[in-house]
Amino acid sequence: MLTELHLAALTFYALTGALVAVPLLRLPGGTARGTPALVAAFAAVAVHFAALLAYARTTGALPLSGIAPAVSSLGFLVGLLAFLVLWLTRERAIALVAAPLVVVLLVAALSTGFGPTLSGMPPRGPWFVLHVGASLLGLALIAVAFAASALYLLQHRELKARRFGAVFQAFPPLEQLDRINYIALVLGFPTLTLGVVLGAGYVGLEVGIRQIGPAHLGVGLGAWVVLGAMAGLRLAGRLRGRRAALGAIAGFAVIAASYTTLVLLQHGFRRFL
Amino acid sequence: MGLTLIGLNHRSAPVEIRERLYWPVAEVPGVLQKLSGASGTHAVLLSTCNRTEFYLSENYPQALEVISRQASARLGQPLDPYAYVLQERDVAEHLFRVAAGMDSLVLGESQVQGQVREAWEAAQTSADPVLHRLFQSALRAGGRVRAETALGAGAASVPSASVELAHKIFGDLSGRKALVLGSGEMAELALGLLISEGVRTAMVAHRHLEHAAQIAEKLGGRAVEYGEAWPMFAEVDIVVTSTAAPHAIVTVRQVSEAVARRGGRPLCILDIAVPRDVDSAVGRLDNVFLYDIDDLQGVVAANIGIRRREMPAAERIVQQELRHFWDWYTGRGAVDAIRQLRDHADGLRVVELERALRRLEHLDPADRERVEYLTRALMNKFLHGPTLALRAAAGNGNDRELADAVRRLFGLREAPTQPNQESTRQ
Repeated sequence: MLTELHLAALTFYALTGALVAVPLLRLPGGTARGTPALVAAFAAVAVHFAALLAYARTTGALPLSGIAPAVSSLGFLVGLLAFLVLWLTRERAIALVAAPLVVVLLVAALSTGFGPTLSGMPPRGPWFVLHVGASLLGLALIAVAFAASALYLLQHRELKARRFGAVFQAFPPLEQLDRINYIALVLGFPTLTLGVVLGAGYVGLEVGIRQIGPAHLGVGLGAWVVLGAMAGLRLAGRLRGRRAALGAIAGFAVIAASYTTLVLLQHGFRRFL
Repeated sequence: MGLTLIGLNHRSAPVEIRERLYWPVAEVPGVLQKLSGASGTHAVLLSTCNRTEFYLSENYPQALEVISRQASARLGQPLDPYAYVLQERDVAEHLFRVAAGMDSLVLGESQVQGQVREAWEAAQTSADPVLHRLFQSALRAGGRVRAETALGAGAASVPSASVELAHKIFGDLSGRKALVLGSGEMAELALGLLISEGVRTAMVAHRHLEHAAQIAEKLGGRAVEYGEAWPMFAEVDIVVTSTAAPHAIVTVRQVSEAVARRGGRPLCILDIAVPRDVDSAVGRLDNVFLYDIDDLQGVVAANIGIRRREMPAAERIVQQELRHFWDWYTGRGAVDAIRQLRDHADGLRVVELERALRRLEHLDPADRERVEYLTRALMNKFLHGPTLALRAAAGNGNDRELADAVRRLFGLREAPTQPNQESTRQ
């Protein structure tokens, strides 16, 4: 049931991406019709939520512990935030980046498998739930900043090159994308910081602060500093437009790289996520 | 013969003919009143810069003659070489396409929908239910085409392409600042459109300050001298240039310092002048988006291409709405005949029922009700076949002949037209 629901959500996310991409390639009417994509995005988020609910019912725990549930939850939050952007702005292009991103996350979750993690899970307290919840929400917001930034750079390139084709027609205005990037980054960084602080608290209480490996600390701190610098510069008005978009993409890449490194570095009970 | 259209448009007549046959909307009721007085016909007059069309609900030869005579007198030459006459379904199809912007000089333009509405509103007293219904349906078709297709998407003129480009960079233009260098009709139009989109401060720089002041006054902006313009590149969001200078007057050297002070905010420069006013190297500065007249025409061409590709979808909507209207229009005769037939039969039923019940006074109320039910059921059974036949004939457009036959067979009289009865779909 869990796998089937995840597969259904994955199909709806892929459909959302296709509904946005296909009119872009063929163009006629590409600027006028957005409802099917919105409906597909809603269906994707709703089915994905049902899948996570099914996980919680089956295991009696929130889908935050273990690679597959955590990655699926991250995908859900990215999907939900992208849907909110789509719904509020009526700009469908965000799905061009967000939908494939969620599909990749769901494929990763499904290929890791939900099965083995269902049993033998150590008990998790509220510190852990808050730590992972805040971290995932922060990551999802950074992912939305990444999506908006990717669109920004594409639209910027088209506008600079004076090309008035599909991207020009269907992508949102530069300032709107910059605004989404700003909001997502400025909200994402403190949320992620809260996640890190709660994580430190959780480790200190449950397993002892000395259990945090130097690699874990170094990589995590590095990513946090990079993102913090981006958010600070944005808040101070020193970074905007194309440079901010490049910064957000770099920040997302650093986060993704650091998490991959942490997953590869640690095993067993101390395995990250 | 029913619906008739006589008129001319941008395809059938040159502008010097069209402009002489243009009636401002305020004069339209008077024209229609005169036409009604002279010919007794119901009519709507749609008069725009691209077309003048009289829509008549009945083809009174007298009305066509009056229109032709009056138009020829106004033109000072015969109307015939420029006019077209359409009838029945072609009239409705033509008006639906007009309202949708499919018959416009600029494909998909939206202004015509408002003009069709104005024409209809100006004819509230001179139009009959058929014309009211025709124009309501046309407006619905136009609205659907605009809502459901991209026929009206994007800019279709150089000034509106300027606005579209500014929108693609800034999104909402409310509160943005604009600077105009030079003068020129195109620049004024572009600036006027930008102001209508919410651009707050418009400054006009011109070699001659008094000329700048004139344009600024017209557009509600402020006049500045050329020398003051360069530092403004640090403040404004949009620059429109349209000078008569023979070489580029905006160079990297002049504006790079101001652009560097913008803190990464984008600057949109629209160079409408020929030869160009802005050195192309300015467009390579960070966060500067420079467009010349060719780029703006490129935007227009791309949008017109999209609009053309939307034509089949728009055509499908027009045909759907046309079918709805035509079903109603052709079914009107059948509806009247059916109503008359039923009234006639029901009248006979009531008379005969009362006569029978007087002889059956011993019946209790329940039995009397059963007898009445019997008469009603019999009447419905008898009328079922003719009703279906009339409805089917209406669908095939043969209802008038059959309705006449029914009236003759049952001794019915032609029903008088009831003004407001037909304004709802049957």
